[in-house]
Amino acid sequence: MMRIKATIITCLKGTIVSWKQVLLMYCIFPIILSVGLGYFQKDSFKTESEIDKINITIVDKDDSSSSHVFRELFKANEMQKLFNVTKDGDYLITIPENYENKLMNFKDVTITVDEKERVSRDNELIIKNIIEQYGKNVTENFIVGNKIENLDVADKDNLYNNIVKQINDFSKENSLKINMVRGKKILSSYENQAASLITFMITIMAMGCVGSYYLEKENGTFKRLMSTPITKEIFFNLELLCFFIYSFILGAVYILTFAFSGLAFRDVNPLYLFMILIGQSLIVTTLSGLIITFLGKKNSNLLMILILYFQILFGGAFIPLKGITNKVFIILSEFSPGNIISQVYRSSILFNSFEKLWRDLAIMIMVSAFLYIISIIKVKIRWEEE
Amino acid sequence: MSNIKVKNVTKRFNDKLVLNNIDFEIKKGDIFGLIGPNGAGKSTLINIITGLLKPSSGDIEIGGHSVLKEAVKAKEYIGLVPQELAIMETMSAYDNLEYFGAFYGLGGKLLKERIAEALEVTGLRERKKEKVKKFSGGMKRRLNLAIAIMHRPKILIMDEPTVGVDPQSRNCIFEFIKKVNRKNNTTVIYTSHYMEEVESLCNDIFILDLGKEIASGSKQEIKSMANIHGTVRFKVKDYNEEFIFMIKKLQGVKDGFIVDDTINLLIDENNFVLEDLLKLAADNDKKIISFNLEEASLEEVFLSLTGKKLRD
Repeated sequence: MMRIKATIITCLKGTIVSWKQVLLMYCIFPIILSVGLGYFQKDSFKTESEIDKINITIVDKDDSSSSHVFRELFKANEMQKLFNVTKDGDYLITIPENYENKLMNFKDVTITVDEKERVSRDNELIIKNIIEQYGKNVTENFIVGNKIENLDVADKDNLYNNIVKQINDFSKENSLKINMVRGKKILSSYENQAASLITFMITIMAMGCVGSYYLEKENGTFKRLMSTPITKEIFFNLELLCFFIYSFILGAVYILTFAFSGLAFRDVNPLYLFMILIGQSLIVTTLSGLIITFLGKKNSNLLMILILYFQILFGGAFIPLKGITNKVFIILSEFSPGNIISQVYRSSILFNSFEKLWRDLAIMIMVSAFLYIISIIKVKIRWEEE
Repeated sequence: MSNIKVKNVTKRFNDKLVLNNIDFEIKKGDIFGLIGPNGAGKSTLINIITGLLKPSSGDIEIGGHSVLKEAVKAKEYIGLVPQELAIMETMSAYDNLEYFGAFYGLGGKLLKERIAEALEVTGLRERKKEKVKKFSGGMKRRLNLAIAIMHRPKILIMDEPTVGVDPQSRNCIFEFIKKVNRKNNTTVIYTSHYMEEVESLCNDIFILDLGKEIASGSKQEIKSMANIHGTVRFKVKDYNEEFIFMIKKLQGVKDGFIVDDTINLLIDENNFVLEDLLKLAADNDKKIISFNLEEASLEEVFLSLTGKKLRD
């Protein structure tokens, strides 16, 4: 406990001592970059009122009454402001065979959304979100319907009509509307910049963590700490604790900078941002931990520089992915290591809903746990023995 | 009673043999010198004692605890002064002591007391709140020491603590070591490649070269091991290689070398006859300008035992 307390205090003091560098790197630099790049990219990120309709094509392989209802969803008045149903849309929405049967029997049914060419990551998110919400509502309808079937016959019709009407009203008037409003929100160029640049920044954070460890080794602090009555595992965990505090503070500075400047994250629930920050810091911590357990200084530097270049090229912060149609570039950008973090920030801005975040957050935690387990096993078996 | 037992320790890095079956004991309250040239294996041995490395074979017992089986207990006995300045330069001396003190298991009131004591002993009390980066080299060294002694270790390990240190600070360190040893009966392991330091400070010595034991024991024991008791130093006008060759052949002369025009002869006092040397000089018309007979230094013993200088 004393060691944990000492590590936390020292790490906090160490970060505070270098406040000038922190502000320069995580406050001033991102703002300047975002304002600069965001300004030149703002034409690519039209505002809500200027948004182009999303061109979709619906392929109905079921041709049932339920699938017709689904098709009608995109032709409703409110939806027409957002979607344009054509034969040659950018997005191919396919209703599978047995759609209605599966719905009736409460089996999983998947409506696929294919993007013919890379148009917009946000559009894809909007469509998926609406379909998901619709599916949920339809399922609710059926569940309620089933329960009604088991009720007293006399009131069944009345009750059924009443409840279904209410649910329908709620779905149409609220859920879908809310979704559309949310869906219609499009990232501003500055928000996009904030969500993209974070991938570059977390690479820098990880570089800082790994660099601080090798500095400890070079100046003898590592040797001194290892000679104290602790095990290698405890030492490693305390090192990770320090990485976590460091990356958490830097991440918080980054988010607060954008929030206070009004460029991004202003309307996002602070709790969601806090959760993302935790997940992001865990990734930085465990990734840095993995690197220091498996690689020496030279190889660590090499790897970190490669990741950094990859992030610069394919992370979307410096080269906007929106206008790029080259397939190789798009595929590489999908594999960008910081993609998941960037995505969760985008979702938080677009939807401001935990429902849209929890999957990505869970992935971040699982990846962190996986990286940690591998690292601690390596530490237990053999670490720093050369 | 032994404080440390190094039992047949061998260490390999891949195929490279770095320590070869090293075996010795250090008595409680001893100032033990571990000497050898760079690359001899001193740091590797220290790293094994402090639990940073595991031996390929053999074991080390510290206060009766095996570093392999009871590493944490064994490390409770140790205070390490690394060769590098293992301190955080952007923090104050007090912060440094507070941080490392917690790792030694100190906390609360005891930690504060020990910090005050360590600052007092090392003369850093007045500067405790200043950032370490503003300290002079000597003060940093003292802080490096203060951290290692604040938990009052039974064994103080000093890994080449005088590298890059000015003579004044070096003397301070020596005085400090003697004081700690005298006052608390602390066992000190002192590694260096400066023989004169070890000679003036240590009771027992272990000489290591290329991972192997060259000699061990008290200073006298080591000197007798090499059959060297003294050094004859003299200056001769117009000496030549032939004359040096003849001198080396004299009875009782173990080795000879020239430093700054002074001929140094390592001698076994029991067999060396001074008259033979004087006669040889007279026979060859070599006039002896100056002459001195000294006790052999460890440097010279090392030369005699290994055939090379310590700081080649």
